[in-house]
Amino acid sequence: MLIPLEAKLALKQEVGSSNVQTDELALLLNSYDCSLSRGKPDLVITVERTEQVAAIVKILYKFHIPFVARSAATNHAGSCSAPSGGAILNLAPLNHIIEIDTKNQCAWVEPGVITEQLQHDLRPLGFFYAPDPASSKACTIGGNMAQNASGARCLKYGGTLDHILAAEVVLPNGETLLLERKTTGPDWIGVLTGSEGTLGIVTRIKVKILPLPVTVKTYLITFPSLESCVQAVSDLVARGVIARCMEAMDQLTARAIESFARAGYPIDAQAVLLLELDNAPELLGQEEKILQAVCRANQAQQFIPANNEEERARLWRGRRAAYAVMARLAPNVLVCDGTVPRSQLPRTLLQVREILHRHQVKASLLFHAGDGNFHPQIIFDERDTVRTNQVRQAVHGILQSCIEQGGTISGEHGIGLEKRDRMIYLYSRATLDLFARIKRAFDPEGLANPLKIIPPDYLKTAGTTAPLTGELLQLSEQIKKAQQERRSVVVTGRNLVFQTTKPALSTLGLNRIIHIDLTNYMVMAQAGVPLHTLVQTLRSHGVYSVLPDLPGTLGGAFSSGCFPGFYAHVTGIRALLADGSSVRYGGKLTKNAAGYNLIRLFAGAQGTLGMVTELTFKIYALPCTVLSPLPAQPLVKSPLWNAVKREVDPYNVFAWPQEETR
Amino acid sequence: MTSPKTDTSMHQLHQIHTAMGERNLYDSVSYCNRCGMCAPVCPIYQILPRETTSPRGRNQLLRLWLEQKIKPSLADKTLLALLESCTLCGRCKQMCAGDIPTAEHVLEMRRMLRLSVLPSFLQSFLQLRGSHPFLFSLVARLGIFLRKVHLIQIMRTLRITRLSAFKWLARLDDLLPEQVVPLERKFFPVVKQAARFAVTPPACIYLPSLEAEWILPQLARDTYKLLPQPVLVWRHTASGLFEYVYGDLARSRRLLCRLIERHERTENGKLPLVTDSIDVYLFLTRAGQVLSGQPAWEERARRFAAQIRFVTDYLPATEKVPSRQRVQLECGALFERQGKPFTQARQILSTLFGKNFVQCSYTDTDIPAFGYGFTLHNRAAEIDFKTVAKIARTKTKSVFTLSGLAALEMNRLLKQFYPAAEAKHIVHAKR
Ligand SMILES: Cc1cc2nc3c(=O)[nH]c(=O)nc-3n(C[C@H](O)[C@H](O)[C@H](O)COP(=O)(O)OP(=O)(O)OC[C@H]3O[C@@H](n4cnc5c(N)ncnc54)[C@H](O)[C@@H]3O)c2cc1C
Ligand code: SF4
Ligand code: SF4
Repeated sequence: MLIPLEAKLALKQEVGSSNVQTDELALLLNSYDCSLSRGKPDLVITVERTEQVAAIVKILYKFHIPFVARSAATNHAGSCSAPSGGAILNLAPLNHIIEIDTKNQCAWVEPGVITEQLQHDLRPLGFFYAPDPASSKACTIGGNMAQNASGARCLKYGGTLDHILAAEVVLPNGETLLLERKTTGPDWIGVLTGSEGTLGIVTRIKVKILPLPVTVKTYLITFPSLESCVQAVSDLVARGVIARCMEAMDQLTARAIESFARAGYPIDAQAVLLLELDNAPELLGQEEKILQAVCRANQAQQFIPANNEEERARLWRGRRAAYAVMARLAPNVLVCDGTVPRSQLPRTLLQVREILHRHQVKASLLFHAGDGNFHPQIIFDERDTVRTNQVRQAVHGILQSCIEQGGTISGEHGIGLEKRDRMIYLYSRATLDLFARIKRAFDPEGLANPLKIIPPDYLKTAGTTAPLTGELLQLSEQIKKAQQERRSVVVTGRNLVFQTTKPALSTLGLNRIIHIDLTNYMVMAQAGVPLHTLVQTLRSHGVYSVLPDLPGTLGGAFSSGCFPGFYAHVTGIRALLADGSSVRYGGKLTKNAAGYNLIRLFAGAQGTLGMVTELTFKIYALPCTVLSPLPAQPLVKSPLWNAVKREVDPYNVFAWPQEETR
Repeated sequence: MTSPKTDTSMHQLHQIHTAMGERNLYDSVSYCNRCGMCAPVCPIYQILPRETTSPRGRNQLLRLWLEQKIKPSLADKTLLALLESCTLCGRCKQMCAGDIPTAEHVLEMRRMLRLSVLPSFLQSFLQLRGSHPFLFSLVARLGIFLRKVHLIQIMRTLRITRLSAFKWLARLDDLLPEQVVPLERKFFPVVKQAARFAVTPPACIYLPSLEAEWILPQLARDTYKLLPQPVLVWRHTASGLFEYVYGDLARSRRLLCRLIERHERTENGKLPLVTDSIDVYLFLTRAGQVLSGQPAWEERARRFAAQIRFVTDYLPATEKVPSRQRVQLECGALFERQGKPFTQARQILSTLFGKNFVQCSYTDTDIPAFGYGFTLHNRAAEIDFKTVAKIARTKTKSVFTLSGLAALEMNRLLKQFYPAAEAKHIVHAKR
């Protein structure tokens, strides 16, 4: 696109002329990231101070120039190329750690701070930042937030989403907002995390920091099959031992690593698991005993503990070499990223090997065994277009197989351009349309990182949801009717929190506990299930959740804002929207980086954006700390909420319990 | 896969040395999969964090060029900045899972464009060492004399050295110790060598670096003493490194061939050839690459490269040094920061100093290699500052380097910013 001279001059005045590049070479060098996608911008703006971002975005907004934030450009998704031209905002110079507050266990950083740099500065203070993508020596906290990146420690500590406490964001119209984790209203930080820069540019981030674990022990364990390896991991989690990381690989990968790095990996086992426990020394001893028992029960072949720092480093050297082995064999390494419910891992991995074989594609196969996330690292030469197409076909096959197993097409790398066209197989038209509405609410002009995540032609290509039946169908009809008649209703459960007297749409008919999954340790239940029934039923199955045995329903606990601590345990959601359509997001998955996080959109929204009908969440084999309810707070109708409401529920079908309704 | 544009000129390399063997230039650069892991360690990217100063950008530039998607020209400021700013330090390669030799790619691009980055007078002077050693020695002595009679000081007072054509002179002046005493011939028992070797054949050859010969005689002496006797010393011998980095590949090849021939003639090419400069070591071990595409030489060059040794091969480190002072290793070198000498140096220092041997963060910078400070004054100053910061931050007292030049550069900085510490070549570690 043609950038008006006036815009260029205004930008140069804002950031200095040396920070606005328009020459062909600079543009070409800003048109890639670590994926196969390309998109050449029309100008590159280097931002040296966070305050400049708002001013720059205002100018771009005025001249209707699309823009893409770019930090280290290490993403695998084609998230920071500029397929429709416009401006690249190079945020890499915003690399200052603003403040580290060990007393309140948080730190304020600029988005361009390299993840490892924060780690390096925290270490002498006895703290660490938990998210640990393998690229942490190069990627940035801003990029991590945009992709909801995570790493080996995700199962125990969570991904980036769980470690952002507040963020300052510049919306696509140049307005600056400070978002904090409030108890009521959607969890905006949750929505923004993983949005790949399509909703705004984050300029300052407050992250959670944790005290360094006292003791860490590392083990290398081998199994006769992928199944026994995954079962051992499930059993361990169920017995309350959440390992700091559980990195696994199949035999072919272990052999490749061993021949390259000589890290002492056994090459005769079908599955090799690198597992690390961290805890206080006395507790670690107990955990180790449980680990040994679980491994025995699952026919583990070898159990090799690292006895000192040197041995530990050697074991990790092997795991870390996994990427280098591949990177040296061929010009390109495509790190594919799929996630399935943990129980489906063995079957999916066998399918993946079969797909790779069918397409004659070479790859190593690594997986985070604890969270069902796996990474085939496919090698090829992109200069050979026939081969590259085969690789693409194989990747499509792998992602399709994830979808079929109830999984998702990205656990941590995001969607960007690379997987955008696969989204129609994962989500229904209604869900994709909700994504598009969220995008429009934040960015009505479509300027922030356009063309990413949502397939442009989804209305034509995406499928519809399976037809609703029974109670859900009735509720959907009622909602549709209300919208047609421009009436408002209030979603209620037991109606305990706000005790509304308005026309209500009750979830109480949605009272089924659909499935208690003792392999993945997840429960799927409808929103109207009373907490008491839920807790008792779980207990009768010998499992526990963080929800208390109190009056009220599951949906109410999730939507009222009284249990913000519960959000992190929820992994899947279904909801009815104002037009009566049903949307679905997530499932029995501990990781999902595909699309905007709908769980966090509906969390604490007090039924004002849609009616939550079903939730999937984590359960445990041992009693865990139960959450206490916070006092109910009225919904904060922030400008952001207003914007989203306008898009998602323009006729205010879902009224807030205590407001005047028509 | 071959490059779409095959250029077989004498000014280009045919093969690039990688961990997976030799590759042609196009293949070599195609192995850069744009992962970006190299950027944060690049000293230039640290100062100017943008793609147009990153190692990945440098590689992608070469790729665009070879795929004829751009028309390279020295008039292109972005291109010029990418090529000029690289210090050839090889830190990016150390971070790269694919072991991509970015520095070599940059050198190739400079050669293809005939881009010279040194001030022209300095360039001509240093080139004399290979082409006319006698003249070089004469000019060098004249320079030392003029410095002794305070000519340089006068030029500085008159601010002549602030003119861009003379800036390097001030830097050189800062770099050199107050007293420059070229190594006297009489130190090495060279005169009587022929007679001695008739009885006992030499055990190795010592090729003193330029700085050991001209500026740091103690380095030459200590290295000499470490080596298995009798030592054959090859003085006034240019390796071709300077020409390889700063100029003419054809000339570099000629010098290297001359050295190889001489080595072959001496004891049938069986003697190890020892150098005190990591840069010379890394260059000579690449002899196969430098002479690739020259059928008559490739095999001989590889045989020769196998005989190259660095001083750390001969440095005994058995007992701890009774010192409580912190020490660091300064890895500043050309092309590379990993391999035998680096591992050996680390081992030596940890044996000698135990816990007092301070390890640095992966993003800490080091001295720009091989007189790089002469090329881009403004940026070099920022890198310099960061380099000293890491020493001051860890309260390090002694910094050990792998070349005399790096020690000189480091001492210049320390004198300016952190006089509490001192830099020494690693051969002096036990003193
Ligand atoms: C070798 C290697 C290993 C990897 N391992 C992992 C891994 O283990 N786990 C994992 O999750 N990922 C991994 N990745 C992928 C990648 O590192 C992550 O996606 C990372 O979060 C990207 O960060 P970045 O700084 O490079 O962001 P970029 O690639 O620069 O940008 C990513 C996206 O974020 C947006 N963005 C950047 N900054 C901002 C901002 N301030 N505000 C709003 N939007 C912004 C961009 O527009 C873009 O859409 C790996 C990559 C490589 C190359
Ligand atoms: S040079 Fe290596 S580390 Fe740098 S981008 Fe290329 S492949 Fe990655
Ligand atoms: S060789 Fe050094 S200066 Fe050059 S690109 Fe690599 S890290 Fe940067």
